[in-house]
Amino acid sequence: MNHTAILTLFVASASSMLAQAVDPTVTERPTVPPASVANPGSGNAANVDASDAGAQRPIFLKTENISTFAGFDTKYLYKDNPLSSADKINFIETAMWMNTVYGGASFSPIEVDDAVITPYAGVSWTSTKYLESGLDGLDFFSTSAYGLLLAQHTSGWAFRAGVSYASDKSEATKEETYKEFYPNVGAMRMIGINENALAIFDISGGIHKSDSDPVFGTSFKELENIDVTGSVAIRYAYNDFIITPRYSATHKTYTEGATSSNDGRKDLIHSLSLKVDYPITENFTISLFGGYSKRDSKGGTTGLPFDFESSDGGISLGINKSF
Amino acid sequence: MYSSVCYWVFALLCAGSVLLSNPNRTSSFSCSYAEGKVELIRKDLIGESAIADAEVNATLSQDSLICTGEKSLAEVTNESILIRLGSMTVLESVSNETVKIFSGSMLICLSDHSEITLKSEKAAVSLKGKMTAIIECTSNGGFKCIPLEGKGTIKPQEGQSKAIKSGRLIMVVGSPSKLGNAYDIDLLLMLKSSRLINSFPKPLPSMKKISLAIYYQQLRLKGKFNALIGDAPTDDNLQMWAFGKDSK
Repeated sequence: MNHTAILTLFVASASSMLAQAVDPTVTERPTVPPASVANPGSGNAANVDASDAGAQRPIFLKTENISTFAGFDTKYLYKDNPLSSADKINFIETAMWMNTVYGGASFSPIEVDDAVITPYAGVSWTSTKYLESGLDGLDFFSTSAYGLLLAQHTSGWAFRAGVSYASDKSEATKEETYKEFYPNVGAMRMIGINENALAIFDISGGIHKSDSDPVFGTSFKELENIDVTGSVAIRYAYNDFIITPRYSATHKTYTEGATSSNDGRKDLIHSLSLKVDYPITENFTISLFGGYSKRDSKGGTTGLPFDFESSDGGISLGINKSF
Repeated sequence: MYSSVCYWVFALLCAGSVLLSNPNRTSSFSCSYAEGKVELIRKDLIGESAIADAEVNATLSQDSLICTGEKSLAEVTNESILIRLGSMTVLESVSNETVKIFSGSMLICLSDHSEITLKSEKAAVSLKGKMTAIIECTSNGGFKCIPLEGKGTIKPQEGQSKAIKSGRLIMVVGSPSKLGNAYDIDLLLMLKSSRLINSFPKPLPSMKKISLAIYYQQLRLKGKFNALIGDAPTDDNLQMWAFGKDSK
């Protein structure tokens, strides 16, 4: 066997090894509380005619300094490229079942001159199972926790700063395969388009301080990166349905130096998604969702392509309750 | 020649300083918006000559009444205070120090930290601070004071002053006046349904702060009573209109 054949075999086996692992850098992890908790204000109102002073409906306010919330989401989805393979030949289409339980608390909001600052903290646990594809050996559990300060400013922008922790553990080996701390900041602005539609602009960024088993090099930090994400979404209410198309672009710069196989690597990830929510009750929502993601990757020392395209679609049920 | 120039410069500086120091220059109110039937009534005249239609940009004299008819609205402003009148409202003595409301409702927006006395047929309170509030007369001769945003105090003629809280309606009753019961009310619903907030061409200068007060209230909201607060026919009675079950 000549050197070229050995090299080809090595690259092929490395690519295959890479293809048989879930890419933790594209896993969605909660870093903020659910929108219904962080953006209140759409509650039901008595339908009254306009008067000069306005309708005066008595309310009762919380007396506690801590408000808690908890919920459970179950998602059944189809994904055509769960392992983020660059080559369509290697696509292993699969069904996935994800179950998440989460809980959290918001603390007494603080009024300052031109803003209201609210501290939040939360935790979640997710089980991800691959169905009907032979990938069940890759089933994993994720644990997340976050703490953040959310400042709603009179300008209409909501600024946030926080830190989150995430950890993935293989269900088969019971070993931790990935963990990260993610200090992050963000700003969000909601603008009413008309009576039924709201545009939501968001920009965020942070540093993923991660630990993972090295795939090519020797560094456990090879997935460390700085990311910046910009997104725009339209939240459109149609009868009882809430339809949310969303586009986001994320730029990642891998920060671990020469010891990492990702030295000099930069990713640009485009995501387009559509979600249709139907609230069955105030606390119980059924949703249909679908999305498309594309990653353009440059740099790195392995010479392997990290580009990928992926589509998914599915249904979810969510129960949440604020206390 | 040189002394003549100096003389004129000196004269201009004196005139400027007199103009700037005139307190009435900034405290006089002018009508900035009128819709429907809005009239000014001069108290020093009698008969038809005392009544004139309020014209936009017309200056209000302190000894006049400003009245709105059915389905009418008006707004008067100076540099630091904005007052909006609802329909069937009569105001007297509109100045930086006092506003007297005989009937109807008004919205008052204090852009700078200031102190103003609000009077009705029977009651009076002093508002101190920087705030936006709605005042609605009640049949008992008092009024409701509903702060929408801001920080400050409300001081009755009898009893202690209280810090105002956005969305907390306070009844002002009796003579000498005292503060009656207080109720937290749904600011979001009030914003949606108030003509004093919504039916004017220019948004309130404090609109962003009102939005923030609504956000703060929604964060602290636990539940709503299915009732609406109505008139206070006597100092001891307050009308409540119920509609269905309470929501939590």
